Amino acid sequence: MRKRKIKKLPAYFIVPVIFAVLGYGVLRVALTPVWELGMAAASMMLLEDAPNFYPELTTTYDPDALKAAKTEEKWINAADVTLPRHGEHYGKLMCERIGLSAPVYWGDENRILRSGAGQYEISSLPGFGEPIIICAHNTTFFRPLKKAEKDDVIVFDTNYDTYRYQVTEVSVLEEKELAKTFDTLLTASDSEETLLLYTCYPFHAISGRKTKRFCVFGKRIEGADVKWGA
Amino acid sequence: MSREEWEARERTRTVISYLFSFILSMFLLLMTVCLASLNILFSEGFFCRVIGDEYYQSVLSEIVTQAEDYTLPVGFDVSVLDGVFTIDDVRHDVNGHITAAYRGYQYTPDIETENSRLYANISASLEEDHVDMEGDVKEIIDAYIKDIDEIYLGEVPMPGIALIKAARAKVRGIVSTAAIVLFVLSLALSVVLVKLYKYPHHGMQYVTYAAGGCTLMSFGVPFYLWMTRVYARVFVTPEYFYVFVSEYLKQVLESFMRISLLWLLITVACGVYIYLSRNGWFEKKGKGRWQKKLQALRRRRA
Repeated sequence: MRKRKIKKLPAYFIVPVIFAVLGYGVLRVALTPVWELGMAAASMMLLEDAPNFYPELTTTYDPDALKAAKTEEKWINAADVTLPRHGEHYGKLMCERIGLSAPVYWGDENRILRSGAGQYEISSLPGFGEPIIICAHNTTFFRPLKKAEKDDVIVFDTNYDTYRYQVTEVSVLEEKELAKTFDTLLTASDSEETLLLYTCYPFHAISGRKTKRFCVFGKRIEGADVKWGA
Repeated sequence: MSREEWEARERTRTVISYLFSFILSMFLLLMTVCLASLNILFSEGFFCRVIGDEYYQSVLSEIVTQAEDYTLPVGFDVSVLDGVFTIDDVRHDVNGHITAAYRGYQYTPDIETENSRLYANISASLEEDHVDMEGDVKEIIDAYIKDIDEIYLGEVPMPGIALIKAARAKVRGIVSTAAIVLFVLSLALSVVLVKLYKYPHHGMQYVTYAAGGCTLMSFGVPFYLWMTRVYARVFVTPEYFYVFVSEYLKQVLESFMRISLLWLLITVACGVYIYLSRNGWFEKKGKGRWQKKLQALRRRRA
């Protein structure tokens, strides 16, 4: 009798387990359309890991860094240049005459513009022979730009070399005109290395919503080319 | 009745009992989901418990950040926003929207106080710069305050609150009805199972299986999702809403697991009842004792 009772005991564990497996199976079959919809929604909403919303801004810029070794023909191998990541401070813009001194970050979102100047990520790094487009607030880092004039020299220091750009043009453009200028600069096949710094315009304190942009264009006059070496 | 017939009848009864027991476990599971939905997913109290001061603080930070990002290009100093929005204002308006969503009315925050604070800050700032607040400047200030209001009014309602409102309106009635129907069906099936047998504890063992099955089913999926931290991998923006959603989902899963523990208790209680019944515990102290005495008396008289 006692043995029979002991034999019955595992049934209280085994039967519920069988019920659970069967139950999940039944639910899976019965809810197939909802299941597939749910899985599709889940695949869109679920990430591999917890999302990282605002990775910390980092810096790799070191003003005392040894500049990259140049070849005999005075160019730098692109393999020696570390490409910045989004939100990385990788260089510095300076112009002594107008008092410009702005750290340059890769990326141009609001968070970056609070800490320095932000580079449009479609544009290129100095030395690559392609346009460089950088913006900042006119009330903070690019406030000195209002004093910029033609022939001013803007220094762009990076870890691999120091570049100098001579201001060729200072102009005020509407937002739409600026967008066209971006397109022209970025799609031109024979584009030379142009530095475009822009900020909101006008500069004076209270101007409401600003639709104009103050642009400073410059061409490279010093600094090594960066090329993909053999 | 021959032995074969008796065995065939017993087999049929056992199969029916297992089948009913399985169906009962499914009913119990569905009833659990319905009750949990009513008490957790559609509960304003549960929702508000998950929101902590951290949420209000994050909403406030987001509002201030957005307002500062807007202020910088306009040309004002960001100090004009100092003290304009407080955590109490944010708490009041966030909760106002939630309560309105759960109780089915429209909520509109009153931002007159915030506007007057902002206006006072701008006035003070411009006074320092010796700028007259007239003409174009006045228009710019009015437009600026309006835009800052829009930022505040846009951030205070919790994202997805309209969805909760709609779901609550459409689903709550159905879920409540389903819970009642499932409860009645579960009760009926339990009675049938008990009545199928001469001794109640024989039928009760199938009810116990069903309760055990329901325990495992209601625990299994939430436990798996909780263990794999699915709640932390949900991608919703902004960040403070993500923090809330992941915490909310985590607590929902934990609540489901707690409910399944309740089923475990019921299962154990059923098991204990069966054990005691089998050992004649109730018989000795219940009507069985009097039945035996009556039978003995009748035998003596006969």
